[in-house]
Amino acid sequence: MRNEEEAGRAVAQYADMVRRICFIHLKKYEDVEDAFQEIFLKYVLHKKIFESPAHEKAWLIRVAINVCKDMLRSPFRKRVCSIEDIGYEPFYVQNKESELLDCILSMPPNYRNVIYLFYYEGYSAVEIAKIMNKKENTIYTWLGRARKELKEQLEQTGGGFVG
Amino acid sequence: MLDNKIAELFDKVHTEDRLKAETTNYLYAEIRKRRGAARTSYWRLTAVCASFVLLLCFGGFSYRTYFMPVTYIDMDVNPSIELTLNRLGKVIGYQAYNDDGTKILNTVEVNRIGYKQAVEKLIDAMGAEGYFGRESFLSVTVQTKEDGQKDSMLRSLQETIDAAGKKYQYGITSDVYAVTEEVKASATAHHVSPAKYLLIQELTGLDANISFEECRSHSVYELRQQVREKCGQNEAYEQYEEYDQYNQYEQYEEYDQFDDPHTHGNSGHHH
Repeated sequence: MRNEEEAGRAVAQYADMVRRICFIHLKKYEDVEDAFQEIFLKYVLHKKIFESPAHEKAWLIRVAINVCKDMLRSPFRKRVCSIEDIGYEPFYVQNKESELLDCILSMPPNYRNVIYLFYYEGYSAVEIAKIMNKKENTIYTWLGRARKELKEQLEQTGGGFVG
Repeated sequence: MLDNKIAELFDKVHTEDRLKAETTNYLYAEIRKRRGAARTSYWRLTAVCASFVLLLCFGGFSYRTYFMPVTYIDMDVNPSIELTLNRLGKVIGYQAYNDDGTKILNTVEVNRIGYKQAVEKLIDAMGAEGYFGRESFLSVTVQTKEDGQKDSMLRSLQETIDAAGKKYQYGITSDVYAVTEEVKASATAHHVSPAKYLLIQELTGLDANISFEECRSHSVYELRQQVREKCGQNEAYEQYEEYDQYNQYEQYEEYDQFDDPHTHGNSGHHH
């Protein structure tokens, strides 16, 4: 088990990255809170020593994606919905500033992951394949389809920034 | 262009300070709790292990105490039976030295009971088979590691036999004495009771033509008669004195303690 110092450093260093992964998967903020804490708890309880900071980051990405998936699969969360959740929208979307965000969030979870990892975190398809434990070709396929879907949707809505 | 727009979009997503603080506090609390639990588990495990070891030692000690042979009581009329007792005076083993003894043991259960009760049961069984007639003699020997209990055990056995003898017309003529570990070992090696072993030794000493094997099947009464015939009663006493001189057998100590059988009812101690 890791100590308080390591836990504090990990939260400071990777909080935003983990938060973004939670953001693209989970709608309810309480789910985001739970997932966020669970991901870092898994980090604290993980006994193996990471080979490098890159290894540590990749491990956290993979765990974050899996925790979010598990949370969405949970039958309890599917059935239970609090009063506060009714009519809730992701809080970043509240100002409706981005049609791009709507497009990304409407895509299948795997497409969202590859979009985030490829465009924002700057991982190559090969690296994403390793992180997600998928074949490279699968990642290329997901990336191609995600790009195509984004393009089509944004063209329909008149978003003129697709390069 | 898409790259920049996606980067701009995700750049706006930051962790709320409250979530960061709550998560950090939660992790610290979990670390402290789990460390405490691990420490508690360690001590709990240590305590359980220590208790187990203690229990094992106690169990081993109890087992050893209960099942360790401490005393051997050998009864010989013609049925020749040996009882093995533990430190508590309970029968933990028994064996017959001849077929008559086996037959008697097949009719009574003496295991795990006190030695007095076991001797009573065996006497009853022998009596039922008609072994206590006019011409019978019961020899009981005790070999024990518990020197402190030897005297009381001898007296107790004599009392038990005397009480049991009241049921029979001719009573039970008997002697009860202690033997040394060496005599017991020699008797066991010859597969006879110590009493019979001593009588045969005595008889073969008096007559070189008599072999140990031909005396084996004789009853204690018959052996005593033969000794008496060979040397006469007075000579037999001299023989005892000789044994006493070498301090070989403990029964002479008992002879000193108990009265002469001829002046003391049915309890005979010598020829």
